[in-house]
Amino acid sequence: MRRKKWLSLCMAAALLAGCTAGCGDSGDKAGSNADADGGGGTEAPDAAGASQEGDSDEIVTIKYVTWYNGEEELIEQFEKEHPNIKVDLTVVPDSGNTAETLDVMAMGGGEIDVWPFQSGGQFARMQKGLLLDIGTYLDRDGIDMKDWFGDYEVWGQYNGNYYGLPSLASVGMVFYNKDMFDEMNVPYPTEDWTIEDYYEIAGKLTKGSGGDKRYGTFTNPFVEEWGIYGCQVCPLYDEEGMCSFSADNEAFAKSLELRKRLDDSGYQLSYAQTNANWTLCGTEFLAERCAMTCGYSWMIQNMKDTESYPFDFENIGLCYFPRLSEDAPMKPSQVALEMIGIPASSKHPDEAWEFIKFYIQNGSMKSVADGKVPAYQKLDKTELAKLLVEGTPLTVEQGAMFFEDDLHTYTAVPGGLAAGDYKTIIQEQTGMYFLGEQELEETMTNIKEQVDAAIRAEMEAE
Amino acid sequence: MAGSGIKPKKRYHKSESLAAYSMVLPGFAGVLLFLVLPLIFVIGLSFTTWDYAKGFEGITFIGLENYSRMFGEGRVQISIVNNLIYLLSVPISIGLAIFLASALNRYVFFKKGLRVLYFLPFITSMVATSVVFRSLFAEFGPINEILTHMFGIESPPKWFLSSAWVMPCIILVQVWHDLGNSTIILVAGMQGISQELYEAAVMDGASGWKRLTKITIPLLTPYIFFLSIIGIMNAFKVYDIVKVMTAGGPGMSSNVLVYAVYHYGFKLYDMGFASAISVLVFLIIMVVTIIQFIGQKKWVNY
Repeated sequence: MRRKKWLSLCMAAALLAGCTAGCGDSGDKAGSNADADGGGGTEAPDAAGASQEGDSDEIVTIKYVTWYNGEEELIEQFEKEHPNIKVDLTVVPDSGNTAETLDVMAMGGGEIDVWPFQSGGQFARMQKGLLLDIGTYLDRDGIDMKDWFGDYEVWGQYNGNYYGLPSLASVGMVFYNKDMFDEMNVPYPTEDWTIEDYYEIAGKLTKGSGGDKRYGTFTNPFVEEWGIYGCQVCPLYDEEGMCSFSADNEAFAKSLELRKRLDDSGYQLSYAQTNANWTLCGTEFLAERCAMTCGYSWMIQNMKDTESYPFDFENIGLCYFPRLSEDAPMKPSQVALEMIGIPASSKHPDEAWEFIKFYIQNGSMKSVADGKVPAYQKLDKTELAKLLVEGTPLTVEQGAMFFEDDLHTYTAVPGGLAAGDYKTIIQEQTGMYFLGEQELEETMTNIKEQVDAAIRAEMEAE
Repeated sequence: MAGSGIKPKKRYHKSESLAAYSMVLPGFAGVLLFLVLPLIFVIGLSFTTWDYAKGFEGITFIGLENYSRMFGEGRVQISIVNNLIYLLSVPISIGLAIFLASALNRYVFFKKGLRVLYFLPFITSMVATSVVFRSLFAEFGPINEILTHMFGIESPPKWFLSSAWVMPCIILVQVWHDLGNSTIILVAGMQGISQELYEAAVMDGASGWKRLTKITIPLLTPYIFFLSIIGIMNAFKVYDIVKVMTAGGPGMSSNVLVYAVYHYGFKLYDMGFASAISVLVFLIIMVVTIIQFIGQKKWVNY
């Protein structure tokens, strides 16, 4: 009986140990960091260069999670130059939930030290204080963000403070199939074209029906695609920091109407179908299902990946986005930037900073070779253009278009107060409009009312 | 020997109890750690705002502010309405299951195979199911192609992309998924009903419908009660179908409460408010379940 009792106690203890094995302590929470400043971030600790744990001879392991493959060589190079820092790399699938996956890891504390963001995703996180303010590091290392990133510097900034380094740029450009233009006797677009020219050309290039239909153009299903014309002349926030949507905002109205018109005329794959299939411009253009598309620089990555995106045509033209009107600036290009930052909960911010600095300075050329446009400006642009288009039918001159200094860059991704709410509300309301569930005026009014309410709530909370 | 049997008996009882408690302890520890403590934490969090960057020090008590805000938020209001609409999946599922179970309980060719086939959707991943249904009901998907070409309907609905049709479509997917499980449970219940009752009814001239409504259904009420409890709980906890098929859209027309929890917690990082909505879901399910247990005395026959 006694032996039975001890046996049962041992088994119970073993079961209990097994149950609680997963509840490992991941270290202190972020409370060790300095107080948050007014913008929503958390300031870096005194960046005197010392690690938070022990002296500089001790090897510190930082955790870097990304959705990009092929960065092992860069990490190896970093570890050679920084023998006291090891980088623990984890590659997660690039899916619709990548951002949330990284959020949970960063919020958990100790799970991630280097935090990359997909285009525009950084603002909501900066707003909520999830990122470390890197101002102290920038001052210590004498880094001028404008010098490093030019106009792209704002993509690492929130409320006047910097929370990360912009890494890769998605630069907007129209890709068009010259053979299809020749077939339909349509002249190639010129850089002064407007959205009305764009609409007419799309009509002329559309042919066929049913499964064989070739559309004149294609618009991506991303939330911000509604604004690729309107935001050329009107920012998302007005001078008082409130929402720019209103019933009399003609720029935004024209922008929304154009997309709906293209859908209703059958000149492009409808909003409903694009969202249902979640198909993107690279897929549609390279499969020759559309004659042109308001695409982005990352389509060049698709072109280089001939296994996933096989295509057999070579006459590809590039042109700047169509202008909202004759008065709109020339060479418009919607941009969105990825960013790399340090979570406020990181236990190794100094080492993480060293890595992201290295990543930006040394990883950019590799990124270009993969078909990505780096945000870092202190590189030879001719060399960049050559590397970017290598292995694709594009010419070096066409590659250089993505690096021009006089591009009129803008964005339809909200980056100010209540950025997360703003993006969600635009997605919901414009979706209703494009699906024919509500009229334009109601859409504009709803967005204005709801976003302003969210901005006011954010202001009161601060 | 008088008076000498009590002490040994007590020791025996104690050691048995100890063994029993030690066996229960791991499971109890798991329930405590992964259910009770998080529940208490969420309830506490619902009265706060939480700045994650500061860890636990970032928790600020704000009283009932999250709760008073909740009923003014359009998203929460729409979510409550949608969850109530979603409750329709329960009687539809149970009603169909009764008819299906009646058929499968008799002599039917390939009965056992059919039971397996009907049960298969229930063991299929809901995510995979949702992805397939989204393709089936796409604007130019197979369903609309059939409606257009075979039935001559020129503008078929956009289904998941229509605010009028999105909830019926989600209900359809849920019913399709759960029908098999409900049917199997009801078949098991039917097999416990004595055949003499049916024979007596036949002799008295009762029709098939009368036998179903006066014998089968009344005697199945314990099983129907069980299915309704589980079905109503699931109706308020629905998330996976909405996340995969519609992401709460178009607009907010398919937002449900748990999706709202995800939206506020993981998209807007407002964990305090998301926790308050979770507590609301918990309270709704608790109240509805209590009402069902009280009400079952009137209509459930044991």
